[in-house]
Amino acid sequence: MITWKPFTVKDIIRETPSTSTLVLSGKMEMQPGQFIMLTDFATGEKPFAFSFVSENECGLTIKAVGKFTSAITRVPVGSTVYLRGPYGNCFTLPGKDKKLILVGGGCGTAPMRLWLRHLLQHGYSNITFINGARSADELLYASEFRSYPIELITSTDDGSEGYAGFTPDILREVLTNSAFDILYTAGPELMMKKVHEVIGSTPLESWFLLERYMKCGIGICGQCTLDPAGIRLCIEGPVISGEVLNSIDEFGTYTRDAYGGRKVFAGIGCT
Amino acid sequence: MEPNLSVDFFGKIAASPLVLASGVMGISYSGMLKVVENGCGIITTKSYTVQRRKGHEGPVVAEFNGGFINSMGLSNPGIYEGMKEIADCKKRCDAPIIISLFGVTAAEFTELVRAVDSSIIDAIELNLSCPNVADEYGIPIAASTEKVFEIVSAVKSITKLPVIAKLSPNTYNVPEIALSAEKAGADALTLINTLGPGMIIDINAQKPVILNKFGGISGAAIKPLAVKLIYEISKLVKIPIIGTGGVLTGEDAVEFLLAGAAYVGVGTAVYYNGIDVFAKINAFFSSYLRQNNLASVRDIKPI
Ligand SMILES: Cc1cc2nc3c(=O)[nH]c(=O)nc-3n(C[C@H](O)[C@H](O)[C@H](O)COP(=O)(O)OP(=O)(O)OC[C@H]3O[C@@H](n4cnc5c(N)ncnc54)[C@H](O)[C@@H]3O)c2cc1C
Ligand SMILES: Cc1cc2nc3c(=O)[nH]c(=O)nc-3n(C[C@H](O)[C@H](O)[C@H](O)COP(=O)(O)O)c2cc1C
Ligand code: FES
Repeated sequence: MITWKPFTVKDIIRETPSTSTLVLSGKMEMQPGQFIMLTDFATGEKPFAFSFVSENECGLTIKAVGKFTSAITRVPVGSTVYLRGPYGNCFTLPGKDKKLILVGGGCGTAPMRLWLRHLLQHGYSNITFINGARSADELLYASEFRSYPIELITSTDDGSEGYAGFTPDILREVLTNSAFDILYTAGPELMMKKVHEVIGSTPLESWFLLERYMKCGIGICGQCTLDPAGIRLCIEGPVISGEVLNSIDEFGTYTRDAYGGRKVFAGIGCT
Repeated sequence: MEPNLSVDFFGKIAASPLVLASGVMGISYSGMLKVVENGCGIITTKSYTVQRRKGHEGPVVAEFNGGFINSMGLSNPGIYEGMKEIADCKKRCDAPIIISLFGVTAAEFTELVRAVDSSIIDAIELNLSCPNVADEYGIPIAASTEKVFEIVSAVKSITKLPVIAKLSPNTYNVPEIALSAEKAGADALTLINTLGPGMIIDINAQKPVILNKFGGISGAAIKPLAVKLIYEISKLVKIPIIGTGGVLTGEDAVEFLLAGAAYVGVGTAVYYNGIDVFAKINAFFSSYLRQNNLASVRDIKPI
């Protein structure tokens, strides 16, 4: 049954000039990688991934890119928002001995953070994390990540913090120096496309968290399908393996807009 | 012997009498292909308008005990983009494709029909009934025998493709409307579009859950109404009926054939029973035919 669960906005953390975390009081049963549909029953309803979950709180890290995201990140603390879900598939815990590499770019770092915390909670220790952003002030959770027992590589496009350059280029370098078993990534699609190219024909297992325009979130409207396989990202995704992506010719090329028409990826944005 | 599920559709062979209902999965070519791969015999596209439409802001879907409501707002990329999507689908599969068109006036419908490439389309469905946009255009055209006659005749006069009139249940005179469509030359009817619209209020938010307040009702709740209209109208008209509305299972689909439908439309069931609902219904057809010693779905005769 589709039902919306009310959550009180306990706090809003301004993470970067454009991105805020809504701290919601209440428990949400979900797995890393899954998403929810968030509404205020006034402005609209949009899909988001969690950036953290705990016993009595959960968080959505949202970049203000348009009407809904601007409105919802400015609601007064104490107001109520409504969630339905969780929807979609999720990341699954790998073998304990695996060497893992995580790549987060822009607001894709939000779901990567949840996955990272999940892995650490489950005792994984062999983790490298490449956290990229356009510039230092757009880097998410930089100090939090520094406190974790992981190999952290920070990069910014403009070199204002960490390595100067794009995350896929940094990934290429990292991969030439050490071997990994599994890669997980979330971020702008053109970044993920390059990550996919960098992995190329290496035997590295890989998982990509994709975004598509979602209207229903429940597999009926057909708005979020990936060509040519007809994968509904809201049901069979949003986590897609690098192997499957080999045959998705729209990956990194085009997406669909609110009208359902094709829209070519223009530059590195949030989607 | 394996029971025969294939049926004729205006001279083409469809692998099953199941028809994908308009507005469900019919936006991208890959979505349409996916449905065919899962056992659907005939595809209906999303309803197209001349100008693209963004549709409504969400929430656009909601559920209640027994049914579903939606207010997508006829979002579509426009007929010209839509034709490209259909061409991509047709290149990859040979299932018959019905293009759904939404207009308000005869002139709008004929403009849409002129944009249809008849070499890749197998039939045209006229969506004469969407309740979600009734507010914007006044009384739904589906309630007027004259309007329906005028639109169907106008479309018939400019196309050789079979024309299907999709009717709304939201009027007391559906049988008269059906007769009027037949008289105007319609080659088939689709019965029914969504009921209502209806409304659901979230008791925590104390607000309508659909942002646009109201939404068309589909799913189990409207099934008895669909069965009744199919039964009644199939006795009145000679043209075939695509029976649609609340079919969730194989049992429901057989019930529609018994009521007098020639084809069975499936929409909301994709949510309730998964994208493979078509294969599940086909499997039930086969077992029902075997049990009743029938060779073909066409041997399931209307009561
Ligand atoms: C599975 C999934 C998880 C997501 N997780 C996050 C997250 O954790 N944090 C975050 O900041 N953003 C996330 N997004 C993106 C977020 O949904 C969009 O940024 C948001 O919908 C924009 O709405 P708007 O009204 O502010 O912008 P608009 O002005 O409507 O659009 C701006 C851009 O946002 C995208 N967008 C708009 N509507 C949708 C929609 N219904 N579905 C998908 N994309 C849309 C489009 O690319 C559009 O060009 C996620 C998207 C998906 C599909
Ligand atoms: C999400 C959704 C979108 C729909 N969009 C359209 C549409 O664009 N055109 C149309 O003629 N009918 C549309 N319908 C109505 C269906 O085609 C069908 O007539 C109705 O839902 C009843 O069948 P069902 O109970 O099997 O869904 C839509 C229904 C749903 C649930
Ligand atoms: S968002 Fe509707 S099918 Fe995925």
